[in-house]
Amino acid sequence: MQQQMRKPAPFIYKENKRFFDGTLKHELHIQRCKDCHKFYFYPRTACPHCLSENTEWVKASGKGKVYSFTICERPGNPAHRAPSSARTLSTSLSPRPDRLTITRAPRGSAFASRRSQAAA
Amino acid sequence: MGSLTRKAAIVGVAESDIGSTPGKSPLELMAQATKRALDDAGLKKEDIDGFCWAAFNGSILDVAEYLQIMPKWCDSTQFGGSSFDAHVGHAAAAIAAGLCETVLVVMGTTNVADRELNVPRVGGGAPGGGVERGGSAFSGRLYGLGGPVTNYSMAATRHMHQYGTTMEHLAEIAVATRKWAMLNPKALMRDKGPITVQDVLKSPMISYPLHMLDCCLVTDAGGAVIVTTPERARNLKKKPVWILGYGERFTHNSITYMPDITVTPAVEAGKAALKMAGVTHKDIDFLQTYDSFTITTLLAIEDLGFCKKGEGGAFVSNQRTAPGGAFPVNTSGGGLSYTHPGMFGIFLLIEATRQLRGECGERQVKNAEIGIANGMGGLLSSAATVILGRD
Repeated sequence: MQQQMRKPAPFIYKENKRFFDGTLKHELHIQRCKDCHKFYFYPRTACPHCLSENTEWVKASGKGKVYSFTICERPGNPAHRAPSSARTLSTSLSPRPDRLTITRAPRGSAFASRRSQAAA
Repeated sequence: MGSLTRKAAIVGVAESDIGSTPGKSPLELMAQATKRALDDAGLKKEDIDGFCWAAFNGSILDVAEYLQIMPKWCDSTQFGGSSFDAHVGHAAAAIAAGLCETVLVVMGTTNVADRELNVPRVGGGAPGGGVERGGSAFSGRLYGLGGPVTNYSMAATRHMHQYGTTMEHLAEIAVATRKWAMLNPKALMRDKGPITVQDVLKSPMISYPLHMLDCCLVTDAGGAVIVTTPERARNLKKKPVWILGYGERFTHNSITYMPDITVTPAVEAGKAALKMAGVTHKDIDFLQTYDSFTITTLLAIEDLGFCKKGEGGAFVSNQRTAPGGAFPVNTSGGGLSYTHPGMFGIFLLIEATRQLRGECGERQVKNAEIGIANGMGGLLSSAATVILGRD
């Protein structure tokens, strides 16, 4: 009998919970600093641009433009099935364009992470 | 800015047994490489008073205890496979500051032997991995992506899209590097014979657009480099290989946060190293650069300024980097065809030193006076550039 391998799961804790709650609703939630007004991702208590903790969550449109991609023929974890793909998207978020990376696991669970720099 | 030019020299280099070393531990390989590097320099273990080491797991205490080294100064900077190139830069600074005299930089891993022993892999979302916090919770690896190749491949895709680079361009690098390996008796792929661009393109796709032959080997290996003061260096067995310039930079951990996926931190590291050394690209006789994948070499050639951004494909065409070509790159056979124990940076220094000493036999770059060892670590995360020269 083939044993079902458990897929690795993200560690969800206070700092990143809001993001993962959003994914359950198929929504992309990222943060914006209320002091320097820059967007950022991944979730952090303090804004990585200015270290202010005066931040807010915003729902992103989820729309984007492919920046790069790969098709992974050999996943890093045997619990995943090959092939899976990763696409780095740039997406338009008011008031300035931002970039995100989307990883798509074999069964279609979408995943996103924000690039560190807003595109100029 | 302070300068390290000719304030320290590499006086001993060696690799351990490489390839598959069944039953060996990384510590055994490190002891072996250390002994050989000391013999190469004509030094004794008691002469070592500075110690540098890095690995993906473990502690510098384990390694120093095993080797019975109790250093006055140490550095276990770990930012990927380029760490050892950084260690040499840091060691030169420590020696110049008078903190220590003779530094051993050492590494060893047993990727192949560990597979045979079924040693569990840790971290990176692999089975048995620990808790992932911060950016690691968003690493693609948790969600179905593979190892480093998946990340480097996205840099390659973007480079192809933005600059018209082709898979054939990347393959040229693999072909040239194999030619060098065929001239190196220690290179693991020497006996496999030459490869062609078509061979690379026909090899299995690992992560689009990188094929198996675009990827480095997976081997066991250890390496050691000994750095010392100018005074001591002048009185040893072999001629000193001087540290002329050094620069380092890192920009990210996950490639998602790389500011521009086609531009590596070698831009700043290289600029700083060239400035410190007071040399220009015309003065450089060879480049030893981290080749985890063919795209890694191509990006480094551009970012170190040997050609303009986006022109790397044209630059490496027609076997320019091969034996007999205008610009020798990775003359050992590189990570692609010589050895690659997961962290390759120390082997760049070993080969650069041997070239500058004129010890390279069939693969010797004629009249080599100045060369670069350029480490690239993590997921295009870090760069450490060392410019070396002979008397």
